[in-house]
Amino acid sequence: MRVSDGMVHELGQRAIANARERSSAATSIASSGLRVQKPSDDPVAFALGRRDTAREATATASARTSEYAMSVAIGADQALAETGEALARARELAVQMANGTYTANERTFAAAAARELRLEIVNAANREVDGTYVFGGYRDGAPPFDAVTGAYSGDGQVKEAEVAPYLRLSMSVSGATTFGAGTGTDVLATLEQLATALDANDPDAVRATIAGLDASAQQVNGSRVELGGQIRGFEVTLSTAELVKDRSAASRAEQVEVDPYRAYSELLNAERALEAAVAVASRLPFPGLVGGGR
Amino acid sequence: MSLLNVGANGMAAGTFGANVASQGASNVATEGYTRRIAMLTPLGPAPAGGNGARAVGYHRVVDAFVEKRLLGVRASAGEAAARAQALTTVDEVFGDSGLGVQLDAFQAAIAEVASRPGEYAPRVAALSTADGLARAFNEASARVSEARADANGKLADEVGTINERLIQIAQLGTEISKAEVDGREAGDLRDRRDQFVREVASQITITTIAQDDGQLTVLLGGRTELVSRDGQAHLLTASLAPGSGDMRVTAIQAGAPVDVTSYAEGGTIAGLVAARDGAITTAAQRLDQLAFDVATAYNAVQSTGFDLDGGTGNDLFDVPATSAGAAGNITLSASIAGQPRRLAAATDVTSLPGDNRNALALQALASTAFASGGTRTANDAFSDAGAEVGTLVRTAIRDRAYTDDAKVQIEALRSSISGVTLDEEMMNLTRYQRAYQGSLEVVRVADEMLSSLLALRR
Repeated sequence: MRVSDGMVHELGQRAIANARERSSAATSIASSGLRVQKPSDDPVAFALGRRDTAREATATASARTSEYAMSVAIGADQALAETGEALARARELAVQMANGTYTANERTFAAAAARELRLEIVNAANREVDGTYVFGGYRDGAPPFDAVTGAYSGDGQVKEAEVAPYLRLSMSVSGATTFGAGTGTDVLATLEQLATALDANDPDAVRATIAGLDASAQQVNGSRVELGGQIRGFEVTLSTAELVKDRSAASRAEQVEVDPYRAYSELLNAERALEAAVAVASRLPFPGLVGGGR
Repeated sequence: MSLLNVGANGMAAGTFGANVASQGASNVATEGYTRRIAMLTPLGPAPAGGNGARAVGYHRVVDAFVEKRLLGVRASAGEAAARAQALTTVDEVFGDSGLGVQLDAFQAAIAEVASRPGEYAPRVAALSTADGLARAFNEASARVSEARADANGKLADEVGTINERLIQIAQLGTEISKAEVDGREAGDLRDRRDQFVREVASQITITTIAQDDGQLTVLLGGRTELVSRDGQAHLLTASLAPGSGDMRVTAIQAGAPVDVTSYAEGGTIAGLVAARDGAITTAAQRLDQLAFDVATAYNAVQSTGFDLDGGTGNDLFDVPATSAGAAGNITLSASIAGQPRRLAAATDVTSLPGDNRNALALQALASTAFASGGTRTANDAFSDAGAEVGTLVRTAIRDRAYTDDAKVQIEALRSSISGVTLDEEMMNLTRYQRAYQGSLEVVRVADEMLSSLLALRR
């Protein structure tokens, strides 16, 4: 093929332009660490990487939700543990004071102790975690149990949290069910009955409250079992969310990030190619009848 | 005397040949210069054996078939280059993390409200990210609109340049015709005209028909005359769809404007139109649809719930009634802006402030297929749109590389035929120099012979 001077110069120019473009791309990839910086770099990898990013963000939000819901459930569980202890002490008191050997004065003191225990349970039932009353249901902006009357002003509902896409878990238990407000055994009323019986110095009446105290303890323990399951559930969803985060990050890295060694190696190759192209171009026009031929 | 004539004619022919070679060497770097070969012819026959050599002109070394192929590949390369260039912005719109990040942040903030519906801070964050999402849509839409406006602006510029070149081609055609009728060489004029034709070919699909009188007929898409003996057409840009701002190319035919945009299958004009009506429009539509779907879905849930004060019926986003222009016009709803308590987290007005059921419904939208006709989640729809636009841009970039290679190959072929080689020109220069020297020697010998003859008479 006949080679014109224009072809030689065009070849040199193109070689430099191509090498410079390659060097620029290699620099961009090496400095950013990203193989896919815009969709056209690899549309499929972009879409997969974007989905991984969204999945990671969702998992991060799920982890936060799980952590928060778990803190609420743990707060409720602690409150019920305290309630259970108070009920156990109340039962001991009832068993002790049901004995006919105690005096009226001693039962009066015992009645005061029973009311203290009731107050402890009221405080537990009005447990606040992060500004919300965990046994209030959706009406969680104020203490759900009246300290004096024991009346329940919550709605007995159980708030749920979405801890993963399509997965909702309860993050507490119903205050109404647990403390027997309108259903089951009324824990606070049972303690009030105990205190009243003690004030009345009536051993038989005191003895009669033991069954109610047992039922209350059983009721509270049932809710604790439920909460235990929830907490375990949040632990699982939390660890799952962490796993999803890690895997999504790894998957995204695989899709859109670049191996640093490979990127650096390509950068070096591209720079050398550019140097070579410039060196070759600097020899143009090559020796011929003009200049070199003389 | 005949011998002196032979020498003189040879010297003139050698001088002409040397001039042609020198011209080639001088124009080795001149864009569009076509190499020439001096055409010498023997003078004679004569009883004395001939009358030397005569320069009859020069021959421009052109392969008409290669020239036609060059017009075609320049059109293809121009189309792909313009298309790829015009799509750079929309590629960046989806590549930038702005919209995707804002979508993630908004969904995470809604999840936070679902966990803590009665708290103020998560509501502030939710409204802030909703506003950020709306602004990200606005920004993305603005950049896509900018790309569209750029394409339209460049279209008008290109048409202006084409018109200037068509005038040049027509004028040069007239000059060439006159020169050749007068017996003058018109090689330089032809070179200039060919260069203009090649430049126009990279802008719009043309075919050329060489006329016997040196004129050139230039056709757009093989049917509309752009240049003829009668002059040149004047292309116009006009927005044929009122309000769209999208330019079309028109030519006046029989006194009326005719849309000739579709005749341009190649060239920058076709590339700009393809980019504008293809990937740019797709990007705009996808963004609009996504913005509209997001606003509609979240509004539907938000407006049916109850806010912290028991209010209901407030939207989260203000958006046009249809998807057209939704991305550019979506805003945080005026009814909720600056009022975080109005975020409707509850489904029951009697269950405030902890009722999070509506917030959970809002949160669930992150994994609900409400976009793209109810088939994709918002995140998936965004990924799909990015991939779709990315594929169009990638195709344009590949087309550019492929057509550029093809153009380079044909240009190299043309250069190998019509380009100047200094070595050749130096050889030709030497050859004609020798021819001149030889003719000079003939004159000297003739002179000696004449002198000898004159000496005999003395």
